[in-house]
Amino acid sequence: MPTPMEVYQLLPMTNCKKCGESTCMAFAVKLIRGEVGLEACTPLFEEDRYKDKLSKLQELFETVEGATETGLVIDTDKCTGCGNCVVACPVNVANDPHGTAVGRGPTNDRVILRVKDGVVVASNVHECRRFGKNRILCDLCIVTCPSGAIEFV
Amino acid sequence: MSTQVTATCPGCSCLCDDIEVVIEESEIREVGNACRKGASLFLNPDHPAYDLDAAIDEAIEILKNAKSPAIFGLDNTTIEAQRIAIKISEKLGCMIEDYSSIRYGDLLNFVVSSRIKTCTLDDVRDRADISIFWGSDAMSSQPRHLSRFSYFPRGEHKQKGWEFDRYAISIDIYRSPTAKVCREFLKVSPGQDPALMDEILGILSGKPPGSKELLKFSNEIKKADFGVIFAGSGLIHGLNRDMDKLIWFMEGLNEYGEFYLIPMVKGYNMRGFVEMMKRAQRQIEGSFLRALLDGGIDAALIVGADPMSDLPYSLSKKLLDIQTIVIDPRDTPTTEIADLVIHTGIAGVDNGGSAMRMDGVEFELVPCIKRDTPSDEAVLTRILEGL
Amino acid sequence: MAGISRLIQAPEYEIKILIISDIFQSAESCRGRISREYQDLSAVVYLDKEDMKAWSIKDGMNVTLFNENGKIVVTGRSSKEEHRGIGLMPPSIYSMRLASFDETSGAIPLMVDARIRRGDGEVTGIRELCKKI
Repeated sequence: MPTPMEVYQLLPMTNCKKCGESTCMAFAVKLIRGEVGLEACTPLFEEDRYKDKLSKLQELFETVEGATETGLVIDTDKCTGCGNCVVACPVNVANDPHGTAVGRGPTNDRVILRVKDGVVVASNVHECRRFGKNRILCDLCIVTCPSGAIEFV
Repeated sequence: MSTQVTATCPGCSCLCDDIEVVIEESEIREVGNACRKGASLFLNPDHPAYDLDAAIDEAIEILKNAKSPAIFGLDNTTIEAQRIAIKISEKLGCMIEDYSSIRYGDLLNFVVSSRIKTCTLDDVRDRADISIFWGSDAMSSQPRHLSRFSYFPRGEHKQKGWEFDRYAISIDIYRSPTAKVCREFLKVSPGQDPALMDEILGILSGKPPGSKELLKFSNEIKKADFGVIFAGSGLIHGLNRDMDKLIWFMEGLNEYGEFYLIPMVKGYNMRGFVEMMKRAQRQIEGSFLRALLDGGIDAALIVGADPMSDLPYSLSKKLLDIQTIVIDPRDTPTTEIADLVIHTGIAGVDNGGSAMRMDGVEFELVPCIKRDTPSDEAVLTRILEGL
Repeated sequence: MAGISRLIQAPEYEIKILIISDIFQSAESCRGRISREYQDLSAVVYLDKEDMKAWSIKDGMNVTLFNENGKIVVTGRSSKEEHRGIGLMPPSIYSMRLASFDETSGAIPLMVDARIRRGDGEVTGIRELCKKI
């Protein structure tokens, strides 16, 4: 995933505040978190001199399109379907104490992660601990993945 | 109209029994909870129809005419098929062997005869403080092992979660996917496993540790009430097949807590074959590989195995010189060179039967769809009758 | 003559082949072990990045692996892990072409000594390996 600095360098770097943020750097951070869209930076689209930067930014964020609203991206080509993330996810454990918590398949629809056709799929992502007002930087699904198939963007 | 059934997966020796299969118009449309390997078994298409009667007659002919036949494979078939294969070997007075001693030396025999203490995977989930993956890469061979039993799940006496309740370590000659998710990785040089065992027991008895990792590991062993070694073929190679050393090490560990060993067998029912041989009061007589090399076999009945892909060329090329009958659901290099191929269904998908998980617990494999492909058991039964 | 032909060939290096399970290859093997997909996942050696630099092998380049047991052409791929001097191969008819049988112990070693060199044509086909030399 791009760093704020990488994104910042592709923005106009004028701190014009047209997007509503006080600096281009602040805009870059929000862009990465998915809190604002690229289109909020109107000079990028209006001024010809930013054409190359715009296309690079579009390319950069194209790969993020598969991301869920929490920024959770699962690379199904890398996923082995081992279910480590399914069992390690604290929300799964809390919402499904008799299924995923004890290492079995989900017994209800309230889980975030489950394995379907050999790879992990996400649902109910609004329940993810990285989402909402009291969010925390939980990374248990990432550290338990043997193949680096899960990312948050 | 779609229906959903719960199935047991014959993809590996974990025999996951929580597979949710969605069936629509007699086809499997969706597979839930199975790993990538298991799912690909369930989503496998059926074989085209063939003349089963003619194939069975031909198999009987080959076996009848052979002077010294042998039966080989059998780790990827049901207990029922294994029992009949053992009967065929008795009828023909011939050798029967699976891969257990080729891959694990005497380990399986020592486990089933209780010379090495073992426990069930349910015990592991409910009680294990420490899981030691020694020369075994569960994440690549038994993908749900850590999530179902050995590291991540809550268990009866393990309610706080894996970060607080459990310790997992991988001991291997390279950093495997299992090593990546374990708390600790100890790299061992090839063949240095006995020396590492000496060192670990030495530190436990008060000698100074050679590294920080070893000190941490030894402290975890001391803290643990219940520990399990998940032994892979890497450990057996590392020990140069010296089972006495392994028994000595297990006894040493047991002075600090309850320590058990579970063999991480590759075939989904290797444990079953070893148990069935024991129950039939049969021992593996001779070695299939040596007999093959020495020209001591003129026909082989190969069940659920692909020796062309599993054996060094110096051995596998000998299969080209003898009559081979292969009973297998798949097309493999061995079916490619076989004189006769009988395609069968997959237990738990097309056919029924039972199998033994790596820890010796038996599971029923109930077919989830109806197809005409015969089971290994049905084919072997007809061959036995014909003999 | 042997000396001259060695000069015109790419340089060769000693390598240890470690045979390891690969979930992607074994998942494919559930569908059969003759297919192109299975071949692509089996006729492959995962190499240490530093070794690749030292041996001028690029990711995706065909390489020849050989020893006294046989010779195969497979695809060289860059490994995510460090393992200088060691190439990782999944268990298959390819790695078994290089493996030897330990007659004393009856074991099939997981580590095999071989040599590697760049190039030498197309990847060996599975059916070709099923034939007797």
